[in-house]
Amino acid sequence: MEEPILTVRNLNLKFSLRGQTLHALRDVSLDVYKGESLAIVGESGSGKSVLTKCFMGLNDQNGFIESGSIRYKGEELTQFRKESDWLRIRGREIAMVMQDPMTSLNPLRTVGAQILEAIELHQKDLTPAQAHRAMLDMLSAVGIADPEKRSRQYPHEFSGGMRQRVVIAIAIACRPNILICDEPTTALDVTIQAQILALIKQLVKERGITAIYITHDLGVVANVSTRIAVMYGGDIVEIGTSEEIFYDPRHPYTWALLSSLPQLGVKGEKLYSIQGTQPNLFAKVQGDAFAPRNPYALEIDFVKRPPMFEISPTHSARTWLLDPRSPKMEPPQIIQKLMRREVSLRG
Amino acid sequence: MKGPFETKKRRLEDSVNAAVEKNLSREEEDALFTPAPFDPTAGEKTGYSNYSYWRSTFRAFWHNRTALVMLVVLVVLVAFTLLQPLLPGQYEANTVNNNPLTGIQLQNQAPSTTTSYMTVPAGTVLLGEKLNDDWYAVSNVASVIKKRQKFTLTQYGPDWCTVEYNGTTGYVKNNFQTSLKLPEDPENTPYQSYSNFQLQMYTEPADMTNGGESLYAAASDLTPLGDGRFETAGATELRTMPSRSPFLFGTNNIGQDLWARVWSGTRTSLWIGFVVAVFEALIGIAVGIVWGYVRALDRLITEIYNVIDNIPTTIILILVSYIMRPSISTLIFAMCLTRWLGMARFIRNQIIIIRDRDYNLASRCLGTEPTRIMLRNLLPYLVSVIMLRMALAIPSAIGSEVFITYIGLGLDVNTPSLGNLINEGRKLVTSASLRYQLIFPAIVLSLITISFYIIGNAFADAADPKNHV
Amino acid sequence: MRLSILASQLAAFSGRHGQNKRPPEESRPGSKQPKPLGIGVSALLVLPVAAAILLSGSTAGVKLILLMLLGLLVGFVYIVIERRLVKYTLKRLLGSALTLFIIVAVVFILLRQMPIEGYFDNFDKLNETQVNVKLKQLGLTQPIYKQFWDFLVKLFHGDLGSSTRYSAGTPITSIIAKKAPISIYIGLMSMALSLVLGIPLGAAMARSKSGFWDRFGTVFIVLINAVPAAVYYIFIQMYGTSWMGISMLFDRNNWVTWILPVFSMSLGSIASYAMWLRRYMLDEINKDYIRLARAKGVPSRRLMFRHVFRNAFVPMIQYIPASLLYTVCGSIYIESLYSIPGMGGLLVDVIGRQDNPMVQALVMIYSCIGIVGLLLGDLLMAVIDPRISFVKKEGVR
Repeated sequence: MEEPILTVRNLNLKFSLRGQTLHALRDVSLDVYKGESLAIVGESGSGKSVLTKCFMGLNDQNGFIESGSIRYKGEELTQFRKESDWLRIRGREIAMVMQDPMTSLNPLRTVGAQILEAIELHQKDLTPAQAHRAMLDMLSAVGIADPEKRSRQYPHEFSGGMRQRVVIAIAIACRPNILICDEPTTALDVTIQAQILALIKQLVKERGITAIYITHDLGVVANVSTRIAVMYGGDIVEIGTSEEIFYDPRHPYTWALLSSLPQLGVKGEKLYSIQGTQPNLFAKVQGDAFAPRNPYALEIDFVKRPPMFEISPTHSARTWLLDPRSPKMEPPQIIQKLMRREVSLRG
Repeated sequence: MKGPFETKKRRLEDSVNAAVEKNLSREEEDALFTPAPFDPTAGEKTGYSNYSYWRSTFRAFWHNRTALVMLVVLVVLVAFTLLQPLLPGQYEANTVNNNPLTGIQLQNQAPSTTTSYMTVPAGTVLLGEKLNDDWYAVSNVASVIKKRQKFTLTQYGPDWCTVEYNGTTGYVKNNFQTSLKLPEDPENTPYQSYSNFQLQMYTEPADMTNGGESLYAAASDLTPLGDGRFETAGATELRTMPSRSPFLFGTNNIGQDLWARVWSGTRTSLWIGFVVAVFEALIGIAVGIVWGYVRALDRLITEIYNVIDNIPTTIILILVSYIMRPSISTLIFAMCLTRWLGMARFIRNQIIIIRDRDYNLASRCLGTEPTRIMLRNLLPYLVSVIMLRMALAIPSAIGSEVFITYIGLGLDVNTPSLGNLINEGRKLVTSASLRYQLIFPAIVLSLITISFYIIGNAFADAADPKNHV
Repeated sequence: MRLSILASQLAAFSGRHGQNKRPPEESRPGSKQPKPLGIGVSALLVLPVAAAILLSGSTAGVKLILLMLLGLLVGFVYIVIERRLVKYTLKRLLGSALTLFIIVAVVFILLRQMPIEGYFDNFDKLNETQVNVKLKQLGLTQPIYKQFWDFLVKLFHGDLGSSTRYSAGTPITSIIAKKAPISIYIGLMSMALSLVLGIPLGAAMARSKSGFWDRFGTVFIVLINAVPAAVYYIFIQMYGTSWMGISMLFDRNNWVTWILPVFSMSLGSIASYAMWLRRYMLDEINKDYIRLARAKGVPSRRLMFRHVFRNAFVPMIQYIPASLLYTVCGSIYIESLYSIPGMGGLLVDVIGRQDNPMVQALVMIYSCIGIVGLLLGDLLMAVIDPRISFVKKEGVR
């Protein structure tokens, strides 16, 4: 692959909450390559949203980057202090689609005005008439019929799916290089989800935008992404191409995630679910964060944090199971079937 | 809040952990590559389950320093208000204090921490008159030289002159008021002089009177010397009142002790506020429950609510006070007439929430008993809001009392309340020396209302689960 | 200390979001929307202009104001029809009329129970026959429903009766006509002042959460809300006048004496504007659409003004008609403290003199103004907020 456009190295981010410190990102490293579709997968609270918000400086005031670096186009984002720095990035370079379309539009401004605002902010050379034209084009590009009329309406006159299309239109109207889609379909009806995903996929492809999907839904991931990063407890535990993650998963957490996919469940058998809850990030995590919930845990998992083991140039995982000293562990049945590609994911 | 100790402790833990991680030798590490026993409950242990609503509420309140300070202030104030009549040496709030000799009201006495007017050293000779077993009225006025009397000036000085009058010798003040005339030859004393107005002849060149009036000394401090003369046994305080209790806040324009009136007024006002708050809660909760539960009445009560709610509260307050006779119960009635509305509405909404909110619906679907839903899901929120409303009802009832008194419909002055004390004080603001009669009640009133307000809000903040992170 | 919670709870209690006041829910996709905020802002702009014209005191100016009000009314009616709020408006109008009627009746009946001295300016000097003659003359011997009917008939002819003690025999309407303008001047000026100071204060508080302005504003709000108004009014008068070296009494022709009354009167509204705006703005800041706007690169200043402030201000517009109308009533405290010959002082005066017809008339006027103010506020809100005829408000209502 080519050079990454966004590089994250050993990022540590903490939140201070009422005198306590929450270690939200623990030593995260990640590369994002131009034109790819990267999916970041994890349970809620695993830090996936926090990580992407770092790229845009959108984390809450009480969050602070303790160490590490985020480099984008030769600029060090962790050094940004002033708002004017971030304004060069937000929208213009990296744009975002949020989870809940019902609340992510200003209820008191027309849909058209809200798209127009994005266009005016990022394409300053347009005349008002051109900008208006661009806004209408944007609306039709996201599949809204009769844009002239619809642009004069307020968000409450739109359905959920339509609103998400508007949100996407706003994000695309900024002409970003990277589009972060933060659970773009979670709040939508299942029937609409596929449409919205297809729309994003198509727009991203047409315009050569790098996409980062954040989701807890592996079904979504399978549809759209070329590469997958699995996050757990504020850390990336496994990263690889979609093929590698689905058909050659190495981390027990990835196994657990895949096993709990209903599509993979065997008829008549109880669907697998991961026991327990996520680690308390207020406390210091000792060893592997997943160890307490991991039936495959080794003694060392409770003592020492595993390093990233590289399986292939594109695939690596953070588990002691990959250490040569580790005893041979058999992955669960379903995973073994997956590895033999006996199960289709896209059914 | 994180103390330095906590930080230190954490640092220590971190370094120990780091040492453990680093110092694992190769062999030790190798030994650890064995499957660990899997405990399905271990995963649960890491969760955040040690949450208790009331403990968190208390903790959040505890961390609000301002509110804590105000709480202490309030507790002290209220306790003092209640205990004040039991303290020794207190005046009655409605007693008019007169000077026992002259019978004149001790009006507009400036605030003072003592009634002591001056202290005289031991061995001072004073003329005294017995007032009662404990007190003597004392002065050092030997006699009074009436107007247009001749007397002999034996020695002329700039401040004091020695005079002879009616065969007695004494001292007379020589100041701008008495301005005893200088003879042509001042050395040529004694000479005859003439009083243009009444003069006082003192036994020694010192004024041990209160502007010519007698002062009061305790009997125990005086040794009788015969024919009405006394000698002080030790350093003796001469007082303006035959009492050791001072007028701490001074007296008002008819000589009532402002200190006693302020605390008595605070009792009245707090009582009004408290009763209004209780009635607000009781009526509000009762109406709210009926409103929420009886669906047939919902429409009717809503209409009544809208009508009453549409009228400005002040107007209702004025109208009711105007029609009824001014008294504490009138005030309470007038205030309760509108105040229950908010509470009733709140309770009604809560009841509807019990029915309709998703988490309660979910709870019911899981088979939770309604009583448990009430206790667990609703009561904490309910209690905190009722407490907030009651805490805020007290200052606002006190404010309404001040308002009603201000427009002339409140309690009469024989029932001191903070309202009529302030109203009385207000009439005197033109005279700067009498402003204390406004300032003292105003300070006590503000302290009470501010502390109730701050505590109420701090409690509401603390009781909000959103702040229990 | 955080006031937000208090505010949210008060919001839950405040009767302004009354149950049956909500407009009907109907869905009208595709209808054209007028620029709602424009109307709100232009309605606001009328305020200082009106105040300025009133102060200039020319009759042409008064006509101009009436013309502007008429224009606003026409616009209002147009939007009501256009946005299909007719049914809602009519329902609210009817409800308010009913409430008004009930209030007038109750006040009327209650005041009949007062001692009859309040109808005479020389009661002590009269014998029983004279008293009865006078009572008959006043129609007070008739049955109460008859009296009420007569009163209503007179009311529709713009006659509120005559004063008995305050200024014996003078029609109440002419007394009010003489007293109201000064109250309106002072009221409008203090309202303008409180908008000018309160709104920036609230915005500054929301922007600098737990910064200087937030602390300053919180202390200010706590003091103003907790301490009874009488106390700080008196203190302002006491120290303000001696500091400025002016008389404690109001003098219409000396502008310096206007400062303190106007300033004290605005303190309460400054605090409440600031408190509510802060709360509404903080509510808005935490909403998703603000995050999205920030993510699309809207600079924070623009974000604050174009999105947060505008949206937070909409719910506050609701209270403006009532505040405007209330200026007619004047402030009871301020006017009696400074001896301003306005409506607020009048009420205290007539209560002191037990002038029954005057008390009745003033109480009725005060409550009518309250009701009409709320009605206008709700209607304005319905017109301004595009969601109101659509979205069911969530949460406690």
